[in-house]
Amino acid sequence: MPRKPETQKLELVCPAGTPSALTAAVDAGADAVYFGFRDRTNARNFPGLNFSPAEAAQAAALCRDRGVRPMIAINTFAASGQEHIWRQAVDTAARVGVGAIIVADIGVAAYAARTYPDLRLHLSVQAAAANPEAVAYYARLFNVQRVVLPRVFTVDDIRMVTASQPGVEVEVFVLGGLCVMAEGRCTLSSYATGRSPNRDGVCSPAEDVRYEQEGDVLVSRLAGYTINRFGPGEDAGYPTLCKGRFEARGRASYLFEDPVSLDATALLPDLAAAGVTAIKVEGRQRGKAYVAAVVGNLRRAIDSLADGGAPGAAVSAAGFTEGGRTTEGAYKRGWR
Amino acid sequence: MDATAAPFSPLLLLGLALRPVPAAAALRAARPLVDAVARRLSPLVRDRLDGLSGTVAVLPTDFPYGLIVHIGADGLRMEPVDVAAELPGATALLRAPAFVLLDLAEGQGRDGDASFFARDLVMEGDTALVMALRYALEDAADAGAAPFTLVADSLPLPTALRARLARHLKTTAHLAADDVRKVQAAVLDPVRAWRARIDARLADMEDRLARAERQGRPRSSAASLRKEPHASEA
Amino acid sequence: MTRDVRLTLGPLLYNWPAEQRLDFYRAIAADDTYDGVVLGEVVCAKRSPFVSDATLEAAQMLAHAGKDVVFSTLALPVTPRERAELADICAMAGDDLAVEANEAGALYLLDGRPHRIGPYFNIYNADTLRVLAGRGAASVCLPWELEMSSLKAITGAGRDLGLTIEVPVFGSIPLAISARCAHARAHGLAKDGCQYVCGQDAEGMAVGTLDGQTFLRVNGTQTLSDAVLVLAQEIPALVAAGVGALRITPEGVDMIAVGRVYRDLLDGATDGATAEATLRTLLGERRAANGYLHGGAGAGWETMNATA
Repeated sequence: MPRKPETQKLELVCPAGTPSALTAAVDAGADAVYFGFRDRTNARNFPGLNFSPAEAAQAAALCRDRGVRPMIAINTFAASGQEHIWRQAVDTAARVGVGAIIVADIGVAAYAARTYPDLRLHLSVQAAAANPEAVAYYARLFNVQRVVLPRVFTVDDIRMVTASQPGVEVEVFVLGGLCVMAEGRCTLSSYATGRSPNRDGVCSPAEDVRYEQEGDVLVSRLAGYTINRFGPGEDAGYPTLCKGRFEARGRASYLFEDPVSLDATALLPDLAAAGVTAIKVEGRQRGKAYVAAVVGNLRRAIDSLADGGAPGAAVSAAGFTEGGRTTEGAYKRGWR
Repeated sequence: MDATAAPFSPLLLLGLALRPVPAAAALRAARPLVDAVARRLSPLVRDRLDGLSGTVAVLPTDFPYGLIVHIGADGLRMEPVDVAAELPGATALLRAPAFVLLDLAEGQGRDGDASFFARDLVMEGDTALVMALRYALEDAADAGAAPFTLVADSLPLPTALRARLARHLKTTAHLAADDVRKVQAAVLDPVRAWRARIDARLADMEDRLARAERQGRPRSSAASLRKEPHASEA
Repeated sequence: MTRDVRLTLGPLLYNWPAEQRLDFYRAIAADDTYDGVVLGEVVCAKRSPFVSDATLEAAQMLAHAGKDVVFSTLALPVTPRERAELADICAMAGDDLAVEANEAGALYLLDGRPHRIGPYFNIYNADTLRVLAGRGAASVCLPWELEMSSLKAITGAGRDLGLTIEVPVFGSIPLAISARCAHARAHGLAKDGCQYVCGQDAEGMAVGTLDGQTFLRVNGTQTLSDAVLVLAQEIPALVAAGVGALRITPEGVDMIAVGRVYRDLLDGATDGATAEATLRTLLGERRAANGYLHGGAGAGWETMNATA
């Protein structure tokens, strides 16, 4: 079969917060699905979300039946004295037979590499490998086979990584929530609430979020700090601090970033040309309607691209996005 | 952040059917069905709601009846409620137009986050509880407890008719929702247009129910769905 | 006099002009409060050309004064220019020059040679520490977010590995770093063409909530806590756990006075409650926080009974 040597078809990696979202992702054309266990070992540790070991086994089996690669995210940092919880998560993932585990913590990576040398290791975005040397570090120490790049790179920066580390696959986010801060290096959430993505797998924990309607104005508060007021009819966003409205220099504004979702669909050809192996959709907290819609759209975009066509317009425009708007984020230099 | 109301949307239809009835009577009539749905749902959501407790009030903004969902160690309990009533003890509150709740119920259209972003969904109180409920219901829907199936299953009908009714409820609901969207977009009189259409479809549904009754197993709650006899079959 | 627990002055995070930096370090060099000083730009490589001469001069002064001088590195080197700066510093690392890594890229460049690790690197457990020690880390400053029990466990493991464990005890808490510059953005600028506006705020730009509550400080691409970390009554417990050095981050207050409070505390010349009161007085209007160490929100303040 003839192969185009220059670019491989992009692998579509999709989120699943529940078995029902996983089925939706598989049905919509995911090449791989990532999910996590119902505890602090993954970075979407939300109430009611995620997979029990039994559900994970069923999910992995379903994926294998459908030719989809299951991945389990164990991408928080193991708490001192409770390392066994993270090791058990790795053990369970290995037992149910996943295509890869996605790790961030050096201790967890070392355990996985030592105990399951044949289990594919992907480096989570939470590990913040933000330059080629960092990528090489994790590849050297733990034989990491793929790195999910932090959302700090321009397309040129990505090419720099793929060119200098040809032995490591690169996966990048193209759709969904956008971290403004370098991932895995942000403790804004725990500064306000005591719980953070790194330690607890949650940013702006729902338990600390309160919405109040003051007439037509929606006020969002996190642990008592007022982080936004949305005027009548103004689109809202997640209650994360990096998308909050603050006062600085005598003016209230979105200091770090507007409520906005990442949508880099239009850049798919550039990302493929830059040597990216896989593209990732954020959103394990989203409903299956979202997963089905965006995965289906991206599937068509990738297939169209592989057939020599255009990827089509941005896929997330249909009313799914934070603030009702999208951005190409750091992939375009002007964002910085 | 947001939430869905999977089993609630059929209740909206029920509410429509009961609209000419005094509130107290309507709520009383709806209770057996709501209880039945909660009983079916409870074991399917208990796992995901483990460790959580509280009371979520789900209140359509364009409809007279809503639902109170009690979450606790014994799973889930629900009661129909007049949206105008006082809701003491609700730890979380969810308000949205009926069509938004309908989208959520079916896991179609937009998800809860999207409806929240668009300001169509208002949430107050215990955010964690509402989110967990949403995830639990969405997953339960895939485990054979899709809302319309649940409602149909909860009615004492022959098996074949249950499936037909579930399909019918779903179609009716979605047509009604689509209508509402169109009508609202055109700034027409949404209530009148919606009512006209949904009344016709309800008549259809009631006709089926009536015929089911004639086939045997007459039931009081099914009978109470009827208001006036309509006899059209499309 | 042997000092069991050393006092380290952490890197200056703010964009002070060269002359102000030199004055600052001249005073530090002339005083024997601090045992070690960490220099070097951690936040933004764009500042480096303006201050690197001052940094080198300060390094010579401080080394001459007998201080243990360490060069820190960028927290988030991404661009070719930032990576080049990182590579230059790491290339110099050796017996004569101690270099502190703040992310994995630096660790790669320092791999196998003796080096130090700064508090921007995620160390949340002893397993991680063991890996790092095996690659040449000799001294590690733990992140701000750790609570006491984790800190004790990691410190214990560090002692077994022969590592010096350092803990941040004073200063604004770095909460986040971004490829984007919020400081420039607040002035309607992008990071490219930022006009170095971060230099206008000697202690970062104050950020309040919409209700006017003080909350954060923006320092170029870095976001800091508005509250200042103050651990004082907790110091005896840290020392008992085997912590080998206390890190004090420069703020716009009398840093020699701050250092002396800690020195007195370590020497037993003052008690925790008095030290705490003195530090809070030195801070003036600034709020104090110690929440992370006590397992709560970082912004919180846990009132300690005068023991420990």
